[in-house]
Amino acid sequence: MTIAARVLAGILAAVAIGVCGPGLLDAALPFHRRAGIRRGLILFVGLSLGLSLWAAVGLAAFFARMSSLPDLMGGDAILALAGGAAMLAWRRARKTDSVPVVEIDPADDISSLMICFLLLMIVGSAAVFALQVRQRPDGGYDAWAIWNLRARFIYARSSHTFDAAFPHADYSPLWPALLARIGWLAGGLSTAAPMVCGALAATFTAGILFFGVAWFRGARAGVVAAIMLLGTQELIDHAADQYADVPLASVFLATGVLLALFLESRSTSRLRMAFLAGLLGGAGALVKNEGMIYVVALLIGLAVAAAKFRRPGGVIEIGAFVAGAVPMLLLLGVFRFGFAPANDMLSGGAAFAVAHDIDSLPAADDSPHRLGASGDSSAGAPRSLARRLTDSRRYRTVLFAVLGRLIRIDRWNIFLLAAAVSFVLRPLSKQDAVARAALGTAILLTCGGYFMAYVATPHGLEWHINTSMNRLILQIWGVLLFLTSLRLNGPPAPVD
Amino acid sequence: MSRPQFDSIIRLLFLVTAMLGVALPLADAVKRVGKTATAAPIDARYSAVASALPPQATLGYVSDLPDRGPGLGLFLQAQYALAPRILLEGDSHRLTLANLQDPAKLAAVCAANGLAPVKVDPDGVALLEKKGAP
Repeated sequence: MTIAARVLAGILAAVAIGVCGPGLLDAALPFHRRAGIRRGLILFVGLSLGLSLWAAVGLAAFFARMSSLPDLMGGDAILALAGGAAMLAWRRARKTDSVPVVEIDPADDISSLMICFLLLMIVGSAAVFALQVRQRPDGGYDAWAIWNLRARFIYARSSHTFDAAFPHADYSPLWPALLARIGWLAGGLSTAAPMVCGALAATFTAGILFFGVAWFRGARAGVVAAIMLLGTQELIDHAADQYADVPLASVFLATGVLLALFLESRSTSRLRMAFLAGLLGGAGALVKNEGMIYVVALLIGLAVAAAKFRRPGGVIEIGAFVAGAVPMLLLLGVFRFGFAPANDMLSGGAAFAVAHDIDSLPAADDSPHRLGASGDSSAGAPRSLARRLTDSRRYRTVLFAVLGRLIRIDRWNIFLLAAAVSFVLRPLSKQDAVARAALGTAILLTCGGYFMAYVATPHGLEWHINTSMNRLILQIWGVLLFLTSLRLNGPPAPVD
Repeated sequence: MSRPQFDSIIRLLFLVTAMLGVALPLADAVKRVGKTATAAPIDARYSAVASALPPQATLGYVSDLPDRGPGLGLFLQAQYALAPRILLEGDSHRLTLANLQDPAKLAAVCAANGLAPVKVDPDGVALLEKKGAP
C-alpha cells in the first residue's frame, strides 16, 4: 500500500471520527451559556464517541474478513456519510430551539491558586506516567498478555485471534480493535501505539470530567474534580500500564455525562443525546465485559428516575437510549456467538489467570496441563455456583475487601473515602435531581454487580479480589467523581 | 449544631483534605525519580528469532522453567513477541522455540528432544528444528 493511499485513508478516518463524534455531538448538544465548556465537552466526549465507532467499524470488518485498507476506507466512508446525514438533519431540526451563545472564557472565575494546583497535578501525572512507561514499555501483564497480544493478532488478520488457549480470549475486543486499526493505518503496530492510547484515555477521562462538571456546576467545580481524578495514582498507573480499564472508565464517564445532559435538558434534541449516550454505553460493553453490567445498570437507573420523577416521555427516552446501544450490542453478540470462547466466570472453569504481573500468576504445581490453559487460580473456591452464592463467608470477605480499599490512600489517595463519605451529605442543590437519581442508581447497581461477580467467581476469591478490585473501582471512578461533584456543589452563579 | 452547619463543616473538611491530597501523587512522582530502571521491550529478546520466521508459523515451545509461575510468564511473553505466530507446548512441530532462563542448557534441551539449533540468540532464545526434518 502506497504512502499516498495511507494518507488518504488517514484523512478519511479523521473525517469519519470527526463527523460521527464531535460533529454529531455538536448537533445534538444544547447551547450552553459558556461556549468554551460546550466546545470542550464536544471535543472530549465527541472524540470518545467517534473513536469508539471507528474502532467498531474496524472490528466488524475484521469479523467479516474484509479488513484490507480499501475495505476499511469504504467502511469509514459509509460511517462518515451516515454520521454526516444525521448531523445535517439534527442541525436543521435544532434551528427552531436555538438560543444565543455567550462567549465567555471558562477559566474566568478560576483562581490562580486552583490553576497552580491543576498544573501541578498534570505535571505530576505526566511524570509518573513517563517514569512508569520507561520502566515497563510493554505495560502491565494484562496489557501485553491480553490486550496488546490480541491487537497484534487482529492487526495480522489472524484466524487464531480468539483461540481459547490465549488468556481471556472471551474479553470484549473493542480496545485491541482500536489499536489494530491504528496499526493498519500506520502500516505497523509499534509498542508506542498502546502507550499513546493509554495516555489519551487518561487525558480524555480528565477532560470529560472537567467539562462535564463545569457544564453543570461551573469551571471551579470542574477543576476540583479534575484535580481529584489526577490525584488518584490508580488512574495514572493503569494508564501507563496500558490497561483497558482506563478507556473503559473514560467511556463510562462520557456515557454518564451524556445521560445527565439529556435528562436535565429541556431541548428538543434530548432524544438525540439519549441515542448517543446509548451508543457510548454499548461501546463500553464492547470495551470490557463489565461494560455490559454498566449498560444494564444505566437502563435500570433511567427507569427508576423516570418512575420516581414521573417524567413525561420517559419511556421514549429509554427507547432512544436502547436504540443507540443496539448496534454495539449486536456487534457484541456477533463476537460472543461467532468468535469468543466460553467465559471463565460463566463456564465455571478458571481459564487464564487475571493478574497484574508475572509474580501473581499461579505458582507451579504437580498436575499435568498444557501451557496457556491454567486452572489452579480457582484454589479454594467451591465448585458449584449455588454453593458459592450461598456461602456467607464469601460475602463477608468481599465486603471487608471493599472497606479495606476505601482506606488505601497509597492507591486511591483520600478521595475514594471522601467520595464514599460524601454520600451521607444532603446534595447542596435540588437541581439535576433526575440525573443524579439515574446515575446514583446505575453506579450502585454496577457496584452490586461487581460484588456479586466476586461472590460467584470460580477463581480463588482473595486472589481474584487482590488482582482486580482496584481496576473495577477505577472503571467507575470517573463517573463516581462526576456524581459526587454534582452532589457537593451548587450551581454556579450567573455571570452575564 | 444544625444540619446545614454540619454539612458546611463536612464540606470544608472535604475541600481541605482534597487539596492536601494533591501532595500524595506529587510525592509519589518525586519518590520514583532515580528509582526507575529502564526496561528493554519484550520484543527485543525475540527479535532475532522473529525475523527468521514467517508470520503464519506454528512452533513448538520448550523451556527450562516450570510451566506455571515465571515459566508461564515467559511463555506468554514469547507468544506476545512472536504474534501472530502460534506457540504450542512441546516439540511436536518441525520448528520449536527454546526459551531458556539459563542459555547454557541449550545443548541439553536439544539433546533431550532430538532438536538441532537453527538460530541461537545468546540471551537464551533459540529456534530449533527436528533432526532429520526436510
